[in-house]
Amino acid sequence: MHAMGYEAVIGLEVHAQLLTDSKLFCTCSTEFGAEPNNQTCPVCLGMPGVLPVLNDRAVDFAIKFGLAVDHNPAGTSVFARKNYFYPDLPKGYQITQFKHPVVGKGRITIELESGETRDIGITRAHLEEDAGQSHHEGWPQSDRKSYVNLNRAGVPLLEIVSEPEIHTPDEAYAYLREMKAILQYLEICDGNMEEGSMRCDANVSVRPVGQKEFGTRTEIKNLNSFNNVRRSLQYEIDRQITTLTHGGEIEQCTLLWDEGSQSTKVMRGKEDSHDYRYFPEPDLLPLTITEERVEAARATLPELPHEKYARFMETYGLNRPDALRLISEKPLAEYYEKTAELSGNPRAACSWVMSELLRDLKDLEGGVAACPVSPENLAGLVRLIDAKTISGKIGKQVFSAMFASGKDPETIIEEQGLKQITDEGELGRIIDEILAANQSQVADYRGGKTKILGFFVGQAMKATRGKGNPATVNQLLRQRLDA
Amino acid sequence: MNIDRQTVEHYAKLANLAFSKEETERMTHDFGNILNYVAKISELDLSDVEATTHVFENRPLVRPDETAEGIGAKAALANAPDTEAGHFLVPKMIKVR
Repeated sequence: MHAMGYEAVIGLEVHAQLLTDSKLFCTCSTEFGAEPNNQTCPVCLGMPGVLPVLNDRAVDFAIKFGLAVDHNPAGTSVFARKNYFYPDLPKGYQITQFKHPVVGKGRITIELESGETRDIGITRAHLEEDAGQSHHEGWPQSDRKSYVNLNRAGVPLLEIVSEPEIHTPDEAYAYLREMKAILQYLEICDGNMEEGSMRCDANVSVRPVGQKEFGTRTEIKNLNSFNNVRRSLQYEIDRQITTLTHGGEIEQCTLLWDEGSQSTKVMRGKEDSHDYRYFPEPDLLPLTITEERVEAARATLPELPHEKYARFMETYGLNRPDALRLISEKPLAEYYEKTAELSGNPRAACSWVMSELLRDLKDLEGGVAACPVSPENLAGLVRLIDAKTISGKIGKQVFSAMFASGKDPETIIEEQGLKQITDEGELGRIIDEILAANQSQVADYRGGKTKILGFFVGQAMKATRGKGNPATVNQLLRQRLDA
Repeated sequence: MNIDRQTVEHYAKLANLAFSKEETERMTHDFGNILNYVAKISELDLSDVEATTHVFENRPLVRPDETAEGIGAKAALANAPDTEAGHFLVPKMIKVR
């Protein structure tokens, strides 16, 4: 609901690039980063007379996705031609699915920051081929030419369409986060919006609260980050409400999010809206998925994000926000779980991962996979603190050194002489010196100002460069001062 | 079945075709005839026949997810009227207002 008596209605279309080795209808590689147009063949170049042959693994991926969103994809789906002209679509049509998609109605559960959960319906998901890439800027003739690279043409996509049941930018964000996690857990898409392996278009309209009919909608195309989805939706919702409250009308159009100006720009209006003339793809027979195949896929389904989420809270006693953050990326969840198991202290492991590790990973390219601190070593650090070999404070210092060097905690503690001093004789001597050097404070303490104990503890920690065992220091000080 | 001129013009535009006024007239006439010819089929009573998209019953040809060398950029670009730096060049496409 919106403060001004309007509510937004949002539907999201997610294009997930499937992690197959070869394209959807030909054997060209899908590997990223090749020389332009080098991963092409007569099929994906749209040469006359070629025939598409379906990649069976892409079908397996679609089946898994269906099961993950609570849909049984057994049955028959039909490929269709979507006709339009664009230079990065060499055939003049895209092979997709229209009336009979491989995945029908399903749902996912999203969780908002408040902890409230909501089910969002999945209308459908269908297999289709990606178009090529067009570059419009930054090349020598960019003022009058576009540059086309067809390496991506024919790469398999799963287009996932949500029901228009999302009402706020935060819900859209939560939906995409959950969707990304599901795709990653299934290992069918790497879910990287910044790199374009997961792309999102949003349909947005607003209506007075209580009205049943939808308002005129606009479509925002090619949102390339989670934050851009949230920002562009907020901008567009505000724009539509402002337009309506000033007596204007919403023009049905397609918009692009412009990062520079943080606003939406009109890409094409209704008058150029497409008439795709879908018809069944004559070159591909209908695809029938048997119950046996679905059951075989079901048996290979991994633990899904929401299941891991519940288990992390239950098994490891984690709080909701921590569990949610940890499960949001599969490699992070696996890293945490290994650390938790090896350390024998899941909560401490969580706190190290959530604070120190995630903070330092922010500046590291490659994320958790490239983390110089292995779960074994982080677990080792947790155990050393639990065994009081070092204090928690020194632990942070050790962690920084581990992150910088990749060394194990024992080596760093040894090299830097950070082992905690628990020896009462040694600590006692240090404390005696401190008491002797601070006679007036000793008198204050004995005169009743016992709060001054903190001063002595501070001095002792300073003298031991933080290595004194705090409990022992406290105990020795009291023994002497209260005597 | 009659097809009007606007319909022919609409589909010509979608197909990126430019017709002269005479051609459009002729197409309007020809399209109508073609549709009338095909409309013959609707005389059949097909109420108990399930709608199909294809007449074959065998399953589609599928292949395992294996890669093979493509034809390479040089061959891919060989017929293109305009290229640069391994790319196809086309008139500038994107327009944002």
